[in-house]
Amino acid sequence: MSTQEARERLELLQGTLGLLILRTLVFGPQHGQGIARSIQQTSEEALLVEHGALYPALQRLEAQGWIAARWGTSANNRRARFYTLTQAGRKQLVKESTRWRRLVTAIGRILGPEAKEG
Amino acid sequence: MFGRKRPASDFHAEIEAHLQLEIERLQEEGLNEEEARAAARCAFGNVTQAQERFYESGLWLWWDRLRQDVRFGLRMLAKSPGFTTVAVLTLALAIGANTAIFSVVDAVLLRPLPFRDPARLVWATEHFAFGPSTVVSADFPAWKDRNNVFEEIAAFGGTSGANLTGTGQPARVTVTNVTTGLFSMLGVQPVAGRAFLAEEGKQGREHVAVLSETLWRNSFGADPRIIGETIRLDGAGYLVVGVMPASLRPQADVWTPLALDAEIFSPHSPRWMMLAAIGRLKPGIAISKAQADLQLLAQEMDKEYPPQAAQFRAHETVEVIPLHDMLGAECAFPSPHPIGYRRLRSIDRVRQRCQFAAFA
Repeated sequence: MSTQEARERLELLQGTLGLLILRTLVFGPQHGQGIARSIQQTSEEALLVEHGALYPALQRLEAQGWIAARWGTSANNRRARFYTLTQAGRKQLVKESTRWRRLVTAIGRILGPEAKEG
Repeated sequence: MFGRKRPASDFHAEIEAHLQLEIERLQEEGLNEEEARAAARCAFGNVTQAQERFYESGLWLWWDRLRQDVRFGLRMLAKSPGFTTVAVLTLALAIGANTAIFSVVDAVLLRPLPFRDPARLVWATEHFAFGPSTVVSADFPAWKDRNNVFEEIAAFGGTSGANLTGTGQPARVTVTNVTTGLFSMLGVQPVAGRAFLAEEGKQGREHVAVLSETLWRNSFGADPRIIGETIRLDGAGYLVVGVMPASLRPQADVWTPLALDAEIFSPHSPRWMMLAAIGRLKPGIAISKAQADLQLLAQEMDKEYPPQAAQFRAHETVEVIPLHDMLGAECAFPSPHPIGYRRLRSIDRVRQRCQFAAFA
């Protein structure tokens, strides 16, 4: 992808990467590369996730006890570190998504109806 | 975060795995290996930075920061020596004070006296209107023979310095006179030789001496042959009969017996001696009972004194306290020399010494 394309993508807001990772893991255990791909595809390539930034975030979530990690084998027979959502992580996801939805709704109210022209 | 630590190599392996997976995916999308590798790297961003961030979350960083904080703290302290001095002195003083207080608490409350059955040991003293708290020597024989509350009672006093000569190097030593039963009453066994015999508490027999273990070791090389030798205290000869352990109180270098038939133990003597008394209560006797008994005895004794003694004996009271409490109590210690009772009046309280402060 070109630098131009990358610029048009949205930078993630501080603290939202963790929420996205937790959400992605709801569908089952996944390795880092898989999580990165999944976030990009699900957001229809709108979100720019620097893969390097993913790992410190995973590290943080693991330390909080919201995700657990284990080395395993990927679909195409490669060793990879797989992450799973823990019970605490599930609760955290609910909490975070509620908070996020309320925030979006509130900001949306202030910005008013969507302008057709952009 | 401080518990299980993930090694950096494991983290590195995970990043490598990520890049491989990404390269394979891109190759499936039609890129050649070279292009795929470059694209994967680009998408990943700064590998070093990711590793640094991983490192930052680790325990090492915690130590690194601690080290930096300590160095910074020391630098700041060096910058303001006035503040540093005050802070250090404050801490030193606080630690010192706490240590001192604990030493007292330890001695008073925690450590038992180094004697047999210390709970029954008491300190008995007379209080006189004119000042010193002491046991006047003329009262002690009555205390010893006519009380109903003590299994045993012993006295000591006359602590003074003396020139020790006769064997080896001359030395200045402290000498305390004790009644012959003191050591056995406290239950302290001699390190060598024997304690005083009862008959050594009589005039003509009292020129015997017991050495402290400290003096024995320092001046006589712990030689047991000192037993049976004669030492000279201010020129007078004393036969050494035994050595007592260093833990013994009242502390002295040499103990000699008090001859209870000496004139100073008579109410009609022109000179008396100021003594301290320690008693062992009979089983089941309360301290208050002992005090009342001795008080009664004091009133009886009043009649035996010559008329000129009436003035100083007026308002005399007796006090009995557990020996263990002596450290905390205001303790008066007998004056070093026999004195006439007319002179007692002039004795300053300042002169009362507190030798027993080191009792426990």
